[in-house]
Amino acid sequence: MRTLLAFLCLLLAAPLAHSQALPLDNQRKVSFYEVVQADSLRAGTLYAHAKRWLVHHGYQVSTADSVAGRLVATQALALYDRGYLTKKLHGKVRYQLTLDVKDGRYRLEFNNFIFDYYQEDHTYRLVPTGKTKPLEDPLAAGWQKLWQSHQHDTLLGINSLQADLKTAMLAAPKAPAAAPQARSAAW
Amino acid sequence: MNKLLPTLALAAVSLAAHAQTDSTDTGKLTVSGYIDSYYLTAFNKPKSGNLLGVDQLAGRAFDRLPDQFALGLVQAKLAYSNRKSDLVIDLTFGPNADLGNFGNTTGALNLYRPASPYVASLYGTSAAIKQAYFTYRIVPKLSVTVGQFGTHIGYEVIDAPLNYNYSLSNLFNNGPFYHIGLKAAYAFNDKTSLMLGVVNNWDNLTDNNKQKSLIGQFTYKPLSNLTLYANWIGGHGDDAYLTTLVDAGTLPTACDNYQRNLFDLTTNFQVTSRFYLGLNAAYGWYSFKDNDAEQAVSALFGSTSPAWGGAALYTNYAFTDVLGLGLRYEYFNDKNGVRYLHTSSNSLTITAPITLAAGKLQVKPEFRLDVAPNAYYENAQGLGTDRQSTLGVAFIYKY
Repeated sequence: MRTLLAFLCLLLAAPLAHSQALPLDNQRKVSFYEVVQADSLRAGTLYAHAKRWLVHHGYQVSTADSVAGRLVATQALALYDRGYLTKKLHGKVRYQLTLDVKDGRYRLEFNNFIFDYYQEDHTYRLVPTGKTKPLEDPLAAGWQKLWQSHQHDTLLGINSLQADLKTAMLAAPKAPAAAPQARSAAW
Repeated sequence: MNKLLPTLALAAVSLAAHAQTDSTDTGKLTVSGYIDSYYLTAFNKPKSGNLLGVDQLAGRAFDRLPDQFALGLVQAKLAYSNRKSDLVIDLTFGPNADLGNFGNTTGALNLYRPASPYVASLYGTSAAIKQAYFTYRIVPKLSVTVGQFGTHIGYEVIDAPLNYNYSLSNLFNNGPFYHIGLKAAYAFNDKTSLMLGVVNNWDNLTDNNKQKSLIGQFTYKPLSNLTLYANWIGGHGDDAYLTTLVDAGTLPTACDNYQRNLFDLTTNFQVTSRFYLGLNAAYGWYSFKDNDAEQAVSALFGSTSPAWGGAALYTNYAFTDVLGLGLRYEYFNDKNGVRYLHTSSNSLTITAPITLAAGKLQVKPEFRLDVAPNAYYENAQGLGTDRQSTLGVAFIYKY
């Protein structure tokens, strides 16, 4: 019986998870905001961890102020039309990530989410058309289901990045690689 | 051209030197394509039953058949990409495929006739090949493409889903459609890139006289919503049809000594999220080097330096993602008859696309008016008239 109940709960939770809404700030714009405690880690260490993570994930860093402990960077997530046979790039949602670090804690915010429409140009390369759409826009006439799928994929993508960032911020620095053992002729 | 082979060999060795194997890079396969069809009526009611004009030249590109349901083409496109390379197999079938890939056929659509029966026999299934090429990225900024690929010249393409207007412009119809050859592209930065290449000639499966065309494209993207392409193709004796006329004795040998150039400018400007502007302008000409050719060339083209060209302005406004309205105005001049139109023409096309099924289905109601200075088009009596107007709707479904 307990197994059956758990299974029913799982069944009910699945559609809820899929329709999970994007977090909004008080101006009704999509924003993922969190203050994270990082006990015992100094601001300088957190700053270094954050910067390394941004570079590793291909972010374009526009502000890197080590004195104020602030990093601002932009990146984009690719979004696909799954199609009938194979998926195809439909657009990219670009966003800004702001990180502020202090001793023992840091603040992160993913915001300014804008969807860029992509299309093949006359040389068949997929390129941004210049048309844009704010991610919080609830309506997409003619492609509502695909738009909701893009919003959901963005939610999953940012949640995943946020989790990855949090792990990286707390990561202990790697020990330097061991020096190769000396080989003596008289072994 | 004697230096071409060693250069290619050197390039191949260079590629091999840079080759690296990455077993984790499994790549991605994309299958896509489209089908299209249309129904239109012509107010000039041409007696011949098509829109080519009273002399059956090239009054219309692909949508030539009025007052009937007409099929465009069926496309099956396979694209495989990994970190270092891309492969494209773009196959098309149907009436518009025969028109688009006309140089790969030996029917009436292709004026060039291979003299050798062996070469003629190679044409068979090649009519289905719209594109077949691979691109190899030697380094992230430098790539090389080899095979049959769509031309870099012009604004519009054969693929109906990528054009705003369904009916194709005269600039498109009188420019090259594709080439077989090799090209290299280098990206200086995010805003500028350069492509240079060497191809057999224009729109042809084979090369009949070993004279190659050189191609070039400079791309500049000063803003995220503005792109400019400056394109060029040029070559010595690279017109397969003209060479055929010389070989057949219709034109003197001196007519085979010429340089042909075509310059083309294409721009895309998404002014706002809803409002778009585009421009295409092209100018091409032949320069015959031999004075002995003057008389024959003048008799054939009405000029010793025959030229063609034109300009088109594109604009559209998206009321919503479903409904838009676009206008194309074009002037094209081929009075020397070196391309296919053989007159000058002013064209106005108004299209109101309706996009449904998450962008997969496009329904395009469209009005087009073409006006020529002479009686180029055809009326119900089979006589010439200076204008042709059509109203129709196209249906495009892509997957």
